[in-house]
Amino acid sequence: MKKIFLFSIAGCLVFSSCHKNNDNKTTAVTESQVITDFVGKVALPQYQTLQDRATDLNNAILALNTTANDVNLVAAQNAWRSVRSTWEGCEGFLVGPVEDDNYDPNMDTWPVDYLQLDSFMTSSSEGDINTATVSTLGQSLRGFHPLEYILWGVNGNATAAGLTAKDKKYMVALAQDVLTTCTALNTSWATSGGNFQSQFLTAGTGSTRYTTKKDALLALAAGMADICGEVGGGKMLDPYDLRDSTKTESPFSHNSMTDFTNNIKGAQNVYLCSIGGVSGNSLSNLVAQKNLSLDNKIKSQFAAAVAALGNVTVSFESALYTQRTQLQTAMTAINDLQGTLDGELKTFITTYVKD
Amino acid sequence: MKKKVSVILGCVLTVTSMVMCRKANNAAIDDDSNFDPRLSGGAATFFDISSSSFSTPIPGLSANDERIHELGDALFEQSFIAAPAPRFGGLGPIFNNVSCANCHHNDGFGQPSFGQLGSSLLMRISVPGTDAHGGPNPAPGFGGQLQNVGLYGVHPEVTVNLTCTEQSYTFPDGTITSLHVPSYNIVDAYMPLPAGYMTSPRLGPPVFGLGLLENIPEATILAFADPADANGDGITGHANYVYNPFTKKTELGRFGMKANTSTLQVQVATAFQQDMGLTSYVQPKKSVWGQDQMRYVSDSTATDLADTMVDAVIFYVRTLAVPAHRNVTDPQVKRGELLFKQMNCAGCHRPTMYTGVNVNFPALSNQRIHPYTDMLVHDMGAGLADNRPDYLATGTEWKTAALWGVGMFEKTNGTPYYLHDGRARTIQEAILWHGGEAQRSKDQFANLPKSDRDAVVAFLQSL
Repeated sequence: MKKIFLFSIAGCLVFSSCHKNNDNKTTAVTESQVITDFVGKVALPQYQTLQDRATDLNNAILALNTTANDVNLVAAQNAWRSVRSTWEGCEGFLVGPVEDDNYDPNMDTWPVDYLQLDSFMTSSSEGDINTATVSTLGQSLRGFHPLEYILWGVNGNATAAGLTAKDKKYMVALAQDVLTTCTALNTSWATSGGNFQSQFLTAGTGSTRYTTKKDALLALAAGMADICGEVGGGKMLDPYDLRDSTKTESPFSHNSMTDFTNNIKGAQNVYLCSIGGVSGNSLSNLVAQKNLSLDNKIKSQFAAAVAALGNVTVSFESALYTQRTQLQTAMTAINDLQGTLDGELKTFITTYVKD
Repeated sequence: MKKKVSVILGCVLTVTSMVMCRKANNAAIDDDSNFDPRLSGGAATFFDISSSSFSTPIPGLSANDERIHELGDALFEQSFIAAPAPRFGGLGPIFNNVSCANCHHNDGFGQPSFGQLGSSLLMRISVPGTDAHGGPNPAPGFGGQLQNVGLYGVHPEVTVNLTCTEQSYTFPDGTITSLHVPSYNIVDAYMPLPAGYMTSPRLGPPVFGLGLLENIPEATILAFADPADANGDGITGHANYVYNPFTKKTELGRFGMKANTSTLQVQVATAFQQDMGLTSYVQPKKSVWGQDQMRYVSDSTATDLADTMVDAVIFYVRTLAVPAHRNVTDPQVKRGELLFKQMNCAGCHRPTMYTGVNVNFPALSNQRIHPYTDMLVHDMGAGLADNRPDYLATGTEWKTAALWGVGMFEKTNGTPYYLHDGRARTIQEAILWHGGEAQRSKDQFANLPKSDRDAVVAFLQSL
């Protein structure tokens, strides 16, 4: 290929400038290893977990439907929190099918559209409410949050006895719809399905999506930066500016703070290539090889953002009124992190990743 | 749900020198030797190769303007719902989709399908003749566009079924490829369709760079026209002149697949009205005005969108930056660019022009840009014809599509689709559909050796 000439020049420059650093390492982390481990140790296991937990949620909802008691209601609420925790972690890498095929908005649009929800519930008969009709509803009537509305109630005080026949039909359909979406998402990366993983694994060697390894790594950097921007500049900022706790992500379960923390941790997992005790060659290792101070900066900003979120001692919905200083500090920390990921990290990748 | 928060960071190269004298000669204006060839949108170029490469504001916006851009961004992604609602009501009662972003995914296009959440296709309709202003004659009972989705309980105008067949194409060198041929079947109409009705499918196009296109001087566009083919290259593009319902004047058409809309204001407001059923100060009547479905509209005099909402969305699309031209030193890309010009693809897909002065937006003002369009309509042959005239654009004519950003489609949308109805799955397929005035260039492309065809595609992928 004619490109080789250019690459070899660039390669010489990189090698000569970083020679000292490399002498101290026994083995250098390569771009390929980072991409491979992102796929094998972060993306695929998390999507599999997502599908497993969506299955658990569906089973818990079915049990609640069969036996509507408060034990089953709490079990369903816990199953909801559990699948949410995985999903918000997966939002640390919103790249590929999750974005292309609208899996994200299909299951995670908020706030819930009460008016249309009420109109749907009153105008449709019990027999009309099923998975097929739910999958054709607007995105604000599908997914996790209408389900949250049913499981917790508008004031967080739902009881199993209070569930109407229509509520039950709707929650069963919603849980099945979420499971369908999570399964489709997991399948879209699987080799036996859409095999999106191969777009990453063959980056620079045949991938049509990521024609260079630089493209693939930039996509990961953009994914991390975007979720930080979404949390710091949208999910938190909009209700903060409006001083309105009904505009939060998970207002019925008061799970929003956990959602945010899991978002940032999800991005951190991508950067460190580490989740659930399993770790691999990471973007962090790659950065540290050539710019240790940038790697330290990113790692400490991730830690600072997570810590700042942890300093909010009440639910986000309450903190909007009572702990605004802590919220502002957390948003600032997240925005600083986003600035580094969007700026210095992308510049690093653009500068040093040459194939 | 993803909410794009726009932060401009670095990467914007400032063009410091604009001293080159501008000659009418194309070869001179295309000479990039004194310029950075990556700056497709001049100062309004952004360097990003992620899925959000169409979603960045132009540089130099004030804090206030940036806020308006963000509000427009949020509204662009907002799903609208049935009236009465405290916010975002007024959808329908029949429509094509519920938000801008559902059709313009990541500010690009959507899926070439009908009636799904991510569907980006719509069908225009008219009957022979023209309306009072020379535009398409609306079909009685259906208007100018078919709304194929209804609110809960409302029968939409029609259902459109799309089927595709494969058509084999053999290159002169024996290579065989396949073209996707769509066909549309309109069923389940709420009343009989009028005799002799004509339809035309449209895939929602990308929405970045529009502020620059709006700012190209009229004289520049008209200078590209060659209606009598004086230079004998087989290309006879002409401008479309269309009615602006807001200014009540006939103006040069710039937007839409047939250049049938003159300003972004009308483009955005008409999309709100026709695609979503939302009224505004620009388009104050419901899309179902005068039709049976008006009975579902509780307040026929209400304006669904506040003026500030429409204006914010107009501002948003006007201020989206253009992704940079990439791999400009790659030998294959350079080879492809040379061939692109030699085959006279650049005869319509004009590489270089300057925008006019616009004191409000320095990044849009007097910029040297590379949109690869002449903004004119051309006969594209029978294969692409919709046989539905739109003002001065005949049933075989289409506006030259801008090619900037065309290489980013796979990143912004996953599966890329090209042409007015998204029929082409690859850039090569899109080229092979060219006919009419583009026949000569298409034939030259087909006759290239495979390595050169690949080079042309590599060049287009770099845009």
